[in-house]
Amino acid sequence: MTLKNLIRGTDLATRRSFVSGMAGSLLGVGAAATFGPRALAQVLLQDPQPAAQTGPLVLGRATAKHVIYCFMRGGMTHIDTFDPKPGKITQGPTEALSTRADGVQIGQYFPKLAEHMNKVCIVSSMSSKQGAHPQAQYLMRTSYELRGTIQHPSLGAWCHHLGGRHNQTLPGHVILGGGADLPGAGFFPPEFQPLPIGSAEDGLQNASLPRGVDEERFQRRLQKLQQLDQAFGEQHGQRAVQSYSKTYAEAVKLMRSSDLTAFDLDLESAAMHQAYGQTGFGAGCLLARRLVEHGVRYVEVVSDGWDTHADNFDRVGELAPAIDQGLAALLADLDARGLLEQTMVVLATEFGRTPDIDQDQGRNHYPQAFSCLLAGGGVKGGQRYGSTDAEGRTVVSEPTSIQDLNATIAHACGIPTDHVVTSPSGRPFKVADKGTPITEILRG
Amino acid sequence: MRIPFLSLLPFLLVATPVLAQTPDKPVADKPVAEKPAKDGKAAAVDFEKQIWPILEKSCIECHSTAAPGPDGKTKKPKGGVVLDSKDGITTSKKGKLIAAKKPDDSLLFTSISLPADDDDRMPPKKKGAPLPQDQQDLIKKWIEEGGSFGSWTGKKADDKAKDAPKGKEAEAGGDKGKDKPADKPKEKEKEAPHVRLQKGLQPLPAATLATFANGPFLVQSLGDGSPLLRVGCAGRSDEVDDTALRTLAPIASHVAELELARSRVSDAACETIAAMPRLLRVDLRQTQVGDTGVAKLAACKELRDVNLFGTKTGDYAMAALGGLKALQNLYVWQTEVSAGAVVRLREQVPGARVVFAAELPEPMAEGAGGARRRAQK
Repeated sequence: MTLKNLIRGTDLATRRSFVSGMAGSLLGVGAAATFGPRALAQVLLQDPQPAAQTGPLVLGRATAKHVIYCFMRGGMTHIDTFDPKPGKITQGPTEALSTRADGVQIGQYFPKLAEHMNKVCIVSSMSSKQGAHPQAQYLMRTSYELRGTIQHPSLGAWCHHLGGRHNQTLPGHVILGGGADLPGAGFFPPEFQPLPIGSAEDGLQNASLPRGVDEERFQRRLQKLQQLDQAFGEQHGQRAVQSYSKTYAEAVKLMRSSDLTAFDLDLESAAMHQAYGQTGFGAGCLLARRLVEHGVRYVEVVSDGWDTHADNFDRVGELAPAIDQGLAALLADLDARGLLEQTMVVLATEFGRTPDIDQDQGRNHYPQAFSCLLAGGGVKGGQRYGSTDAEGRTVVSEPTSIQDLNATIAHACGIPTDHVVTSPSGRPFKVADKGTPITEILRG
Repeated sequence: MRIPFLSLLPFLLVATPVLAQTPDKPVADKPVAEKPAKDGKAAAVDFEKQIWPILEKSCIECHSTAAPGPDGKTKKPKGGVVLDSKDGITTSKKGKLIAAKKPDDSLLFTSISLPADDDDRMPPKKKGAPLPQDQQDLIKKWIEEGGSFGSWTGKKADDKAKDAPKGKEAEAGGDKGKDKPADKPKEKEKEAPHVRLQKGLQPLPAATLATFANGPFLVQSLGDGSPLLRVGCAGRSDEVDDTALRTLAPIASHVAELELARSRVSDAACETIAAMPRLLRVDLRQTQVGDTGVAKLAACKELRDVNLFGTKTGDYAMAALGGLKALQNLYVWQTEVSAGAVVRLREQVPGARVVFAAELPEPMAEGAGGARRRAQK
């Protein structure tokens, strides 16, 4: 239910419901609610002390100012996509395709992306031990294992928190196309929660004044809010409370900013929409490009449905074209705008799928070997890093952990991978746990 | 494919520094390193002759530039510490390997001088005994004297010289040749340009930088504590016009990256920009700058990356930019630049990549992948 409907249809148009709806849409504060009451309570009950940092933070020289992180949710098959094994029994009906990068082949479902593989580094030697979706997605996004006692921040929240925002008006971290349930700010203050946008095509909701509220009335409401908050804030000087107020203020700033147009896909030409493909993922990529143009640091685009237990080949054939089109357009468009050099584009998934094809023509969970893509932001393209054996069963060279991949992204963003941040509960954490950046695939 | 590094040692020892840079310099016949510097007043420590042999003998088995090993697997440097090139030693992600004149802040010295039973001591226990005291002293003395490498640049420079003739095609507008894996146009410079430009540059006083705290500009170090600056204005680009840009004059000497995308600057702003001698990258995407302004950027001789996407730039400016011999990337999509001017510029600056079109994919086939159709043409 949008806020406008809420206000129009009932008498509930109170100041608080309006502003909180707006803040929720604009800056993702409301997303806390999607984690359920327990998580919300955890956020609110946290120690008033901000997470303490040990040692001064000296950012490295960043080759990537921005990250566009495409997450293939459900576990993307590696053999049918970016680690083909032509002629082997495990390949099934999928054919391998030569690409613009010498000696780099990919699955047949990505003919358009094949034309841009000179910009991409395939990391074929990903491996983990976690084969269950929630746990593996959590590990992929946070570098830590899912625990009942703590919520770890996602890589995007780390980059946002330690690296800061390039554009102080827009959110530092946006997640498109679902995924609001995935880990976000974790134990960082709530202001580092990513802004979730369900549908990229609809853009940002609740960003204009509701009907019947003019600027003057809106000002009065904000003043009233401030008056009420002041007493409460003085009594309860908690970090979470301050963070919330800060978020409201930022939402109002954004409403009045010319940067608000960053969220409006209608400003793109029909030809541009077509180039990205009129799919949810394509629109996500197009919006991600707009946000990066306006200085947003970290944008995630989620594509769901890769859990192909049955009819793997038909399903991949249905899922892949949107990714092929969207990603090819994104790489080409960023490159031509001079943004690819400073924007790292990542395609990641939580695990691979079994080399053996089962009786349902399906492939099942397989964390032992899988592939991710890195491009732009200082990544040397046109190569494959690491490899699996002839049938795609095990990693045989350059084993790369999830932490190593995340460390590589963080390192490119200038985030020191050895910088320790202490959680409110007093435990030390690093951006990619014990991961080591793959510096060979980055330019110095 | 490179030959396994260790087997090359005897050859590299003699040949690398010579091949890399100074063909006319006499070859060092044998390492003089083990000889301790007997008194502090002796001649300055020579890295190539005295320090490198120590590193070569005791360190680079684990700390050499990633290269394919005898088993075909790429051998990564341990801990990301690379000691076989000047670049590696001066720019480690691990921290400051050498801090000039401060051996106690230099990881290279502190890690070899730790007690033998310390976990962080180098070389590690399983690899052997600590370096003899005279070698430690020599390294300490070398750092105290400023840690100069002389003409030595090490392995990397040598490799790059070999790799240099790789493709440098400027790709734009449907140039669909196969690209060599992992190639990068123009990487022959021996050190990153920002490293060279920041040498001897004093950081600006904090008070000067503080004056920008409430303005529309975000002024930050380039990273790793560099005195060079990156200046951006995202989020407040509406407030940045030619007048606002003039406020950068006091820090002009330190600006290496300037991001003015979508701001209100116009041709007059380019005069301010032209007074930034260390500018490596300028982003004028989607601003009102045109020919007369952009032509003035030719004064910034260090410029590598120039983004003019969506501006009114035309062929006149392109001719002027032909004088930027360090140019690597020039973006002129959606400008008034003609194809002829692009060709001319590529001839003038052969290493430059000039992008004037986007290789966008064809629209999706009808119904492919459940594409949702919207406003069709």
